[in-house]
Amino acid sequence: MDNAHFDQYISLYIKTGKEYINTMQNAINILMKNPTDKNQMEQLYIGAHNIKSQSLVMGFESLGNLMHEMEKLVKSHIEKNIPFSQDQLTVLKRIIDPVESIVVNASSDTKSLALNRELDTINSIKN
Amino acid sequence: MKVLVIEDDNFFQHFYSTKLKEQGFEVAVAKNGNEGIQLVESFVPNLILLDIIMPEKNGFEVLEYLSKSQAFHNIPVIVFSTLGQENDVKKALSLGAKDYINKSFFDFDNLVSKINQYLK
Repeated sequence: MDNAHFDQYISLYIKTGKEYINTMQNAINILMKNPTDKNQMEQLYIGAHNIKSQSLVMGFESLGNLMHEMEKLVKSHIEKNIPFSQDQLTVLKRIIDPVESIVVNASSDTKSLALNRELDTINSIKN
Repeated sequence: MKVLVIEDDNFFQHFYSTKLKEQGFEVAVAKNGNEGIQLVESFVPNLILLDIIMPEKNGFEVLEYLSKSQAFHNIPVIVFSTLGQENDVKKALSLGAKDYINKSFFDFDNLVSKINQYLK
């Protein structure tokens, strides 16, 4: 995305991204009490999917890739009808919280952000 | 020309509706598949831009509705895709979508070119 469009859309990215983060945090909290709640797993999935898409179009490749891995993980659990374990949900919560900070503080610097540790963490909880 | 955007994400709803209106298209936006079907019937678009992963009826269900509709089965549909949706795109094309656009990349000119191609 060119600089002019980036400047035009960064506020909207932050606003909508924060809404998805809130939905995902809420979904994780509910899943911790009821791990079989499919509606909340869908909310988690759609949130990760949309933050991925928005991040990629804004040029935030690392964040987009991280959300893609989270999306794949959640989709796998939905398709195979496997509830998340408490350990997995704790890890997801530990990843979403710093992602929130990245999203609400997004700027052109976010394009060069590396999230390798978070990627390794997501991969470590895959079944 | 009338374009219906069926997309649950507020960011992309705003982005595509704004950019398309700047190009002179008349645009309606639906935030899920159910709303999308309602707008197909009331707005009667010339072309549909369709997201696949949405709440309340996904893109595949919208494509199935369109394919069975005598009135609307000829409306060209371009689906939105993103990273990891290669299989979704194949399925959408098999269900009657004409083309796809990868919304991970900022390539609005390509989208307009495709829209004009299918509106001919």
